[in-house]
Order: sequence, then structure tokens, then C-alpha cells
Amino acid sequence: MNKLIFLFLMFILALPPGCEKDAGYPDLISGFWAQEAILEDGTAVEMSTCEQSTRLLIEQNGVYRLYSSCDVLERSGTWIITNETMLDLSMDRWNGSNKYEPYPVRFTIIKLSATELEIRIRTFIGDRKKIVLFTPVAQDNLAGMTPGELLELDRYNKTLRTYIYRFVKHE
Amino acid sequence: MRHPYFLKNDRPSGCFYLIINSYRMKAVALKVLTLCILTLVAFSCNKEDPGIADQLIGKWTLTDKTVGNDPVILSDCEKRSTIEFQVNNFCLLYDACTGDTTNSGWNYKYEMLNISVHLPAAYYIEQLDNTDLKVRRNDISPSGDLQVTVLSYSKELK
Repeated sequence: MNKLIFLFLMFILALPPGCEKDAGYPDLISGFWAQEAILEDGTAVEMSTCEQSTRLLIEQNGVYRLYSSCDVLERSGTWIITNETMLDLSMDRWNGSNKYEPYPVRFTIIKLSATELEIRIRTFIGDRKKIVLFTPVAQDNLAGMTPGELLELDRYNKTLRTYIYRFVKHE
Repeated sequence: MRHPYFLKNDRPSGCFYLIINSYRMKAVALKVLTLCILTLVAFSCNKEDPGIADQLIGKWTLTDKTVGNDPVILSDCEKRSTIEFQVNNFCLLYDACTGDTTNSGWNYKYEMLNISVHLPAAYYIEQLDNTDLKVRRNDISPSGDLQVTVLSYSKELK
């Protein structure tokens, strides 16, 4: 009987910490982020003016907003952090025809602190063009291309690249 | 006939004793389990704050607005615009300048006030009491800067 009471007391003591608000990551990632650098296969890419203007406003309610000076509109989507290592964003993806549609994108969190966010994704070049990976890029113009050029472009678009996006938090 | 439990000296021996003792153990285990369940319920995490949500219920009239740190001069009709939070997570947004009323949903979670028609923007409550409500929302300005808007409301007393 005493052992049971002891076990019960241990159970009670173990409860409150488990019931606290999820520690850290939602508080750290919420805020106003400015894109600082882009790395492609480990090499820093010279950012365009548009990419330098990219801003990410992440709110604690699981919604984010995305701005770039060259983008025709402010984009928004949802975010969630899973396993403290993955950042899942719903992002806009060109449907190949006439509009952008929501598309789930998973990044690996390399670094997340009060002031820095660094995330990584490995994807095809073709997908990078279609998804607004923080800044929209021009879609392929296939008009006037020869079959050989189309094939070459298709092979290029199916090349895998590792992209790293680095953001700093603005107060 | 005296119950075997109450007389230590009369404890039955052998299998009958084991059977009675196992029933006693099951009763104790059941009580402990019940206590555990009740404790779980008592300590269950609730991310909503019913206190703040209850205080929001009612009709609020816009009285003040600042963008950045700059006050915005409200027109007479803007000062008659209201937002009414109802108990069923339903709210009515009345624009006195156009005469339109917009139906929307609302909730208060993770210390944020979400009004569905205003999403993805959400509101942080700066001040809330029986008569005054002040909320802040973050936006990105056309030039790409963080833009903070603060709206102040007063409650319509019935």
C-alpha cells in the first residue's frame, strides 16, 4: 500500500512539467525575418535585389506572410515545426498553367535562435523554379525551343540541388 | 458471522486467504487508478484562456488607431464601426462607413486573437478590461518594413 502511495505521488510530481506550453521553438521562430543569404550546394549565391528584399513574418498562430519587392502580391501560408528539426511550410507552387496553388514544403532546421534562422531543402531545380522558395523566379519559356533544347532543359530541371536559406530577425 | 478481514487472528489460510487478499489489492488498485485519472483531468493542458475569451464577449466600438507610432485620424463613421464577439466564436464586424456587416469566426488561442476574415493577420491583446480593449497587429508595409497597427475600442454597455 505504501508503495502504491509512493508511486502515485511520483506520478503527480511528474505531471506539471509535461503540461507546460511547448518549449522554445514557436517563440523563437515567431517574428519578422529578413533573408540574409542563399546557398546552393554549399556555395553562396549572389542575391538579387528582390531576394534581398524578402521578408518573412511568422506569427505564433501557425500562419506566416511572405513579402518580396518584385512579387506582385504578399503571400501567406501555414507553418509547423515537427520533431524540433523540421519546418513544414505551405507555399505557393506554380501549377504550370495559370496560377499558384498551396503546396507543402519541408525544410530541415539547421539553426534557430532568437536572431537567426537557417533552413535547408534538397529539391530539383525544376521544383525550385515552380515553388516560391521565398522569392518567385521566372518560369521556363518553352516557346520556340527545339526538341533537343526541351530535352536538355528537362534534364537540367531534374537535377537535385541543396538550398540553404538564412534569415535574421528584425525587431 | 464476523468478516474475515476484521479479525487478524481469524485470517483464513491457504487459497481462500490469497483470493481475499487479491480482491483487496484490486480494490486498492482501482482507487489509485481513479485518483490518477482525476489528476490527469485536473492537470490537463488547456491552451485556450476562457477568462480572456469571456471578457471579449460583447460589442466594441473603435475609438483610436495608430500605425507605427503615428496616430491615425478616424472619420466620424469609422468611430461608429463596431466589432461584436459572440459566445459561439462568431463575430460581427460592422463598417459604419459602408453600412456593411461582415460575418466572421473568432477565437483566442496561444495568446492571440484570431478573426477569420482578417487572417493571416492576427491580433495581440495589449489591454482588456470591462470597458477598454486595445489590440495590436503586425503587417508588412508596401516597402517591406514591419508595420504595427494598434486599435483601441470601448465596450458598449447594455
